Amino acid sequence: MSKMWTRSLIARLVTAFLVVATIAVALLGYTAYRLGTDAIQQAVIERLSVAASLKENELNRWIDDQRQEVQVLASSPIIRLNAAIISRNEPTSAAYTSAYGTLTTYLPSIVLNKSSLTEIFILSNDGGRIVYSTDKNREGQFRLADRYFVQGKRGTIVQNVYPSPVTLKPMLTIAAPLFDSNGSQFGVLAAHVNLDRLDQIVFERVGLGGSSESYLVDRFNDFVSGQRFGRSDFPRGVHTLGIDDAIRGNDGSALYNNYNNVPVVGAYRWIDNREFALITEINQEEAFAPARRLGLTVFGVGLALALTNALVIYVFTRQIVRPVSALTEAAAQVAAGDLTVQATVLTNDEIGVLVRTFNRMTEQLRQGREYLEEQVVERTTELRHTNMQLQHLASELGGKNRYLQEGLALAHDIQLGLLPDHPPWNTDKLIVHGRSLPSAEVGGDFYTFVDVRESTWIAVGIGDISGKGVGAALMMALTSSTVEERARQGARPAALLNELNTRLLPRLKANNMNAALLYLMINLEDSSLYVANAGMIAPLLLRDGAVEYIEVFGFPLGSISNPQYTEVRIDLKPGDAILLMSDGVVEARNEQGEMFGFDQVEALLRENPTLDQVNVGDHMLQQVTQFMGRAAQHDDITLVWLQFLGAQNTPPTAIMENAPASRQPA
Amino acid sequence: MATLRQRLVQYWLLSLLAVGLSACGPARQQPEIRIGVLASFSGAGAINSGNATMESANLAAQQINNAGGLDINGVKHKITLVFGDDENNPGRAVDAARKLLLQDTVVALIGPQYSSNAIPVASVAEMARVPMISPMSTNARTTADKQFVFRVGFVDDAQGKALASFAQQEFNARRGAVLYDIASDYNRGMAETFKRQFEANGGTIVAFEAYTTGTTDFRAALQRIQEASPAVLFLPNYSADAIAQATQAREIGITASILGSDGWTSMRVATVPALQGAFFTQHWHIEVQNPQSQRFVADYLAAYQREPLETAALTYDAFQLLFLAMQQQKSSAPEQIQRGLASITAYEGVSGTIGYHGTGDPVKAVMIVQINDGKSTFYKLVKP
Repeated sequence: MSKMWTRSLIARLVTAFLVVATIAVALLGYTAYRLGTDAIQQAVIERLSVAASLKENELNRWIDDQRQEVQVLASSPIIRLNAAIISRNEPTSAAYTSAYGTLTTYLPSIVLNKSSLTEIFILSNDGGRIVYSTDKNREGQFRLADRYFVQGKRGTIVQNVYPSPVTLKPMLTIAAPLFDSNGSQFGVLAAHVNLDRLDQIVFERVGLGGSSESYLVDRFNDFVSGQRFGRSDFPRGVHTLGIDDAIRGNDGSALYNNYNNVPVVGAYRWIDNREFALITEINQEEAFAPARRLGLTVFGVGLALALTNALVIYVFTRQIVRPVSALTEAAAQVAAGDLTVQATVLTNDEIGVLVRTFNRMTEQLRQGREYLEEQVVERTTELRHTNMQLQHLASELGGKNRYLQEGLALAHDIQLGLLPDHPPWNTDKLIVHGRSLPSAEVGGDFYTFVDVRESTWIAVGIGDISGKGVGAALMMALTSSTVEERARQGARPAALLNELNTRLLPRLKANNMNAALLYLMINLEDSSLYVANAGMIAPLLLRDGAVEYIEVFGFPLGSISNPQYTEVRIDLKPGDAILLMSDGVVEARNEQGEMFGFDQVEALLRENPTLDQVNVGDHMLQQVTQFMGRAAQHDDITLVWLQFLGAQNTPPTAIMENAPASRQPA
Repeated sequence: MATLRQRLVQYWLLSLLAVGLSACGPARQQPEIRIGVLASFSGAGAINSGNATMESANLAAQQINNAGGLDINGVKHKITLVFGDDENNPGRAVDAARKLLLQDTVVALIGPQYSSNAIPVASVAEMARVPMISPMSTNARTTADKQFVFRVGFVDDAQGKALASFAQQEFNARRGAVLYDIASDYNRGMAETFKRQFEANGGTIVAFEAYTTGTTDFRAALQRIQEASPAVLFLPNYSADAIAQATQAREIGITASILGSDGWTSMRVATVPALQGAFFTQHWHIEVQNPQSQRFVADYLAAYQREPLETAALTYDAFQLLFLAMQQQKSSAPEQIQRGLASITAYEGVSGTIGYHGTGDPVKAVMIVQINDGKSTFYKLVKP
């Protein structure tokens, strides 16, 4: 509910209006009721007072009539004469009988014809004895103390409604003195008045409505009617504001609660000569009914108007809110990404302008996005085009690559062909094996065996051109062919390296390359070995089961312009073995990234002195390959294994000349 | 603009005031019980009766009020008397009674003393449903067919019977005469009861003479009585008449024993020679010795310095019955008082044991007193 309240402008507007309108209308209705009540109260009181006046006048006129009637009777000669006779004579006398008979023919007919008098009777001054009555049962009674008798002796008297001392029934008695022909008062003629007429006059409707009521109350706060005093439901009399004020002798009118505690409008008056109060009342509920109706009508009509207004407000508010709602909906769609939506323009007022503005804004947004989309399409097309070109190029390149690959394979084959399978000398004294495992198709490592022309010398070279691939391979080919050319000419190791450095330096430098090369010469005659090293791992000598390095070092070829390589001489003994290797052997890594290392190489050599000499190189290569496992090979792995069996008889002298004596090991 | 503190102080003072007022309340307004006393405080031949009634009523009320009030259910109620004068006239009596019942809102009515007034007032009280106790009314009609009307004395029938029997037994009288006020219900009723009982006992009423109220010369009627030579002459009339009648009877030469009824009660008896030796009935006599009576007489003497009349004694009893009924019922509501009175079976009062057995008439012995040497003396108690 509260959600709806905070969300709905219409609900708030209509409710607020209805609350204010209902309060206003209720006030209006109440005011109408109050004003109506005041007016009606005045009118009702006037009518009640008028009715009471009429009743009072009628009562007085009626009682006056009865009074005159009794007076006429009391002054009638026939009655006076005969009443005097029966008052003064014994009932047994003839005169009494005659007089009684006359009265009997006369008075009862009056009672019968004059319905207002219920009993006419004659009292004697002697003890107030009833000497004659139209009610025979009453004859012989003494009413000495009764007021109508006591006062009736002196003059005509109306004893106003009083309770009979005998029956307590209401009575109204009129009495007049009786005078005989001599003018002396001898008795009283009295008559009880029929009070039906009293009730008629009093209880006759006031004519104001069903609840209007008029009644008499005597000076003791008791109801009075022709039938009875008091009412059994009010044994202790009735006390209301109106009654009490009237009994105090006041006339007036007021709003008060009647004897049944019902709110009434009452007019009351004390009728002094009759000694009772006449009260006229009407229920406030009935009296003020028109005012209430007026108030309710005003309220009802007002409410109906308010509801109509609320409906109008509802419709108007909806008209204002509907374009806003439509706009909200459109905005929500735009927020969701639909820029084609257009809010309907329902009005030409401020909201209409807002809607139009919104629509324009959406349109511009849409156009902007369309432009962007076009741009994207264009770019995409271009990209696709480029992509196709690239694919074309890639396939071209793929072709070229294949060609290159083929070239590489060929180079590999050629390179492998460059590495010698067998030494070009008699292997009775010196066995040599070379093994190379290039990392790419074409490697940078090489080795070579040369039988120095016309001498007892043989030479072995092992090199490692920095870099791999075709460039390194070509350089390797150049280097190896240069080494072989110079070796065949008998160049000494240090001289050969110096010369080679000089010849290759420019090329190597130009290509940011260098070439490591170890070169040794063995004189098969005197078992001497000369070795010079340009950047390769020093040779390992296995002698009598021990492994040691031949300490010979130098910069790789192409590193500096004048390195001045030196050579080392050792004398071989039969059984000596020498291992040459490229750094790819010790730097080979397994899957855990561990290097094969010098220790394993040395250990392998130490553990396998008894192995078949031919197989040491192969065994080493196998061990390295096994060590690497699936790990990639990063560098060429090259091994050369020399096994010295014994010296030849003829030393290669020519070559010895070239060897610098000072550099020969002692 | 008052600060909170000022307002708190105001409330505090107001609450103090409220507590103070409520504390004062009960002390100021003691609940009261309004009792109507209706008697002849004016009117012919009734002054003695009225005075006695008023004195006795005031004595009864003062005794209670001096003790702090009538204790009903632990609450002391002040007794307030509201007097109404019946002027010894039935019409006036009805008016006065209606004023007491309808306007003065009394919860009970004591009186009237005379039956002629008590009879119509009894009807008014019955209609208003307010209990009424007439101390002295003896007429049967006073209480007949009424729930709310009670009396303290015996009924006429009882005293008529008692007197008739007394006359016959005491004097062996066979011939009786009656002179009575035919215009007064009481006198007439007494006369008729006496006649009926006398004749029933085997006697003869040789003269039954009536007169009407206001008569002063009874010689004609007495003459006729003289001629009938009765042994007893019954004068069931009020004091003044009875004195005149006895005096005139003796003048004429009537020698018959003279009897009177309780109507003689307020004649402060009787220095009248003609009445010497006469007998009459009474409800109570000062010579009757019982603790209640002795205390009452002492209290009355102390209060008013004169001996109480029988009217005073019976009125005093009427008040005591009323107080007893209220205390028994723990209520001063009229209907409750009626219930309380009807349930009293044996109250030891000044005038003897009083109890109601389904009617408003107590069953009581009739006392006969004799006038000797100017005063009445207890003679005999005739039990029912």
